[in-house]
Amino acid sequence: MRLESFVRGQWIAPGTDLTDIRSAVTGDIVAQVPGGGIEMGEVLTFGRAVGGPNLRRLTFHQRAELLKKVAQYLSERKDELYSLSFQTGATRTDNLIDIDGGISTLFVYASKGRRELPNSTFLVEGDVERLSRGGSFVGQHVVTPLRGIAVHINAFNFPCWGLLEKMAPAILAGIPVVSKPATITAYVAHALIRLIDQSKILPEGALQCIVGPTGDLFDHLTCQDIVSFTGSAETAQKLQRHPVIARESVRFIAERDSLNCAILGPDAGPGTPEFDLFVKEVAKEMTVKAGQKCTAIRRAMAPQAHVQAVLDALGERLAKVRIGNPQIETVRMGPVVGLDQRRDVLAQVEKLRAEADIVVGDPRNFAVEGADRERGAFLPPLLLHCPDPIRARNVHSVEAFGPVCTVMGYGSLDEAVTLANRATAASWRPSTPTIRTSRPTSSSVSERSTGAFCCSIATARRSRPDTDRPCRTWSMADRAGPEAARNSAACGRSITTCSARPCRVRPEC
Amino acid sequence: MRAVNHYMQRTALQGSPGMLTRVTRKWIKGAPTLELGEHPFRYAFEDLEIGRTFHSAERTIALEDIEHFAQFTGDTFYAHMSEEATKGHPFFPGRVAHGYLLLSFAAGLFVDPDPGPVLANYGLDSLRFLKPVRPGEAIKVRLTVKEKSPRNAEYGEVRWDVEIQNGQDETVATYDLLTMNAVRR
Repeated sequence: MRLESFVRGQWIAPGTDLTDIRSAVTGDIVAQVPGGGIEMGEVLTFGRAVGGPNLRRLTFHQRAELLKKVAQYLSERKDELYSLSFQTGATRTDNLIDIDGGISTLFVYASKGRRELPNSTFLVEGDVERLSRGGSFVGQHVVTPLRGIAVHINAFNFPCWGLLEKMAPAILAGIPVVSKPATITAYVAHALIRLIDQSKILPEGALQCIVGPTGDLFDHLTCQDIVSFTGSAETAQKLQRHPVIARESVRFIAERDSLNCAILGPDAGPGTPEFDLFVKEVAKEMTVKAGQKCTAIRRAMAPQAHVQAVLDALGERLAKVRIGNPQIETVRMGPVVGLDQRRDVLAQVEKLRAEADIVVGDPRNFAVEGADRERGAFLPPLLLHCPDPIRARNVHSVEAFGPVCTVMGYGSLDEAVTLANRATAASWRPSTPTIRTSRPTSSSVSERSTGAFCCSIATARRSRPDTDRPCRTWSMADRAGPEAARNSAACGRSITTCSARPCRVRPEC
Repeated sequence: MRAVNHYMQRTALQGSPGMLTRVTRKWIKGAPTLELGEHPFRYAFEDLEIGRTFHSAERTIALEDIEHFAQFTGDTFYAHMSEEATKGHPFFPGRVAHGYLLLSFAAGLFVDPDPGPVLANYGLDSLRFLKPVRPGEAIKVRLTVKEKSPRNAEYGEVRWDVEIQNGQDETVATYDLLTMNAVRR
């Protein structure tokens, strides 16, 4: 299948330079992406000139209604997306997060838009400021949509969710979108855009999609445009260095590598529900989406005394994970997205091995069901143990974006906090810290750790591009000492509520 | 919803209260008011104009009112019960009326009781008690339509700017009152 771009209201594929996309499972070619031939300047102009006015003339409530209708339309047709998505290596559970999660994000924005925004075309922000003593001269801030276009550059791991959760707030705000899916899973995003186009719900020009290289798109950006990027820190830096970004002061939001950590509280030893929950969550985060999640736990911290117990329990749990063709019902983990990605993960694991030992998993020896281990991009869950995390550097800075996690011990809670914060700047993910407490009274964690749960966390993360190191704490806040209690209090105890310390990187415009 | 803000830009508007009220469709204190015509509770949601205002009559708050309110509600906080106990108090010059008494009396002063478009009291925001009211002092209320938000085909939300004043026109309390108002039949 030759993928087309949806630009200026038409499906086109003018390029001749074809790139093959291969199935993560079989290695067979599933789609071809043409490169070049699209006039990027015209794409942006069309969005600004046609999509912008079409959206701006609607009120927030009317735009919310559009999102709701799109969500309903997609809900009825999601099977088509499911069948394509298996080729990316996604299991049925992974698809729940990506496809159903993406659709539910639309519903959430639609409903919040109706409830929390006025039925008008602009927002009134803050209180009236008296500027003269008698109150005859006053000031008021209003907030209006940018008059440019939103350029969304999406990561490969969630082709549907990533696209929709970026699109929804932009459309609700009243700004047209041009979406650029990651090439390796572009066939899923392509099918999604086709469905949205067929629905004819969004006004003309509101949504365009570029499959393949973006060419000189960045040369045509203006100060009224916004770029929202999800992907590697390396690519983010490359894009952000583009001279037009600085010259035009283009808003640039990046979500990039992360080294999220989970901390087992000192009082949560083997036999406690928190210990079991910790093990379950770490194992789940390693295997869901084959660990290719920006929210995955990469560093699992445990009190020194419990490290061996954690390693044993994780080893036992991970041994039961069945790896293979994601279309097989009993398979729990599919391949990573492609052979390049597998090579990349293994190369990163090599860097981690300078400071940590692999204690579970052998990339050269593991069973794969219903697929060829070498032709498909399969990997086993790889659990590492770092004996000296205080002196280690790589475990706090290198992300292996696959089924990989490093267990490390800590002495005191202060040391755990130091380790958690050791993640280097390059590896911080601009996002909200996710602190979960697992007190039995509030511990619907296990029941709620479903696709929907992951999405709501992820939604909260995306919606706050603040620089905070994501970190999770498993602890009984009321028994674990003041530090944990403080962390817990600062970040909110509920599971789906994420709050962040007020620390913004990007000044408001 | 924070993500929505990333796609928007802020503009500072400056002008007279009347000008900004017309631009933002939110009544600002100092902007013109509409006082002729019926009580604002008589207008359907669509017909109620931003700025429509009702000025109540005055009501004197007697010591017996305060004592009655205290016994009736059980709120016998010392500041309402004893001159002696408020000696040297940083806020109160003596016994004062309950804040909730002021709110209750204010409602009694501004409501138009007969069945009509106002369906329900939905709550209040930004309540501040700014000046204590002593027994024997009078209060009166200004009620102004501040903002309207349509909800559905049957009703919409009306935000009222409420100011309770004493006999010297000093502000005693301010708040936003929310009501649900029926649309025209």
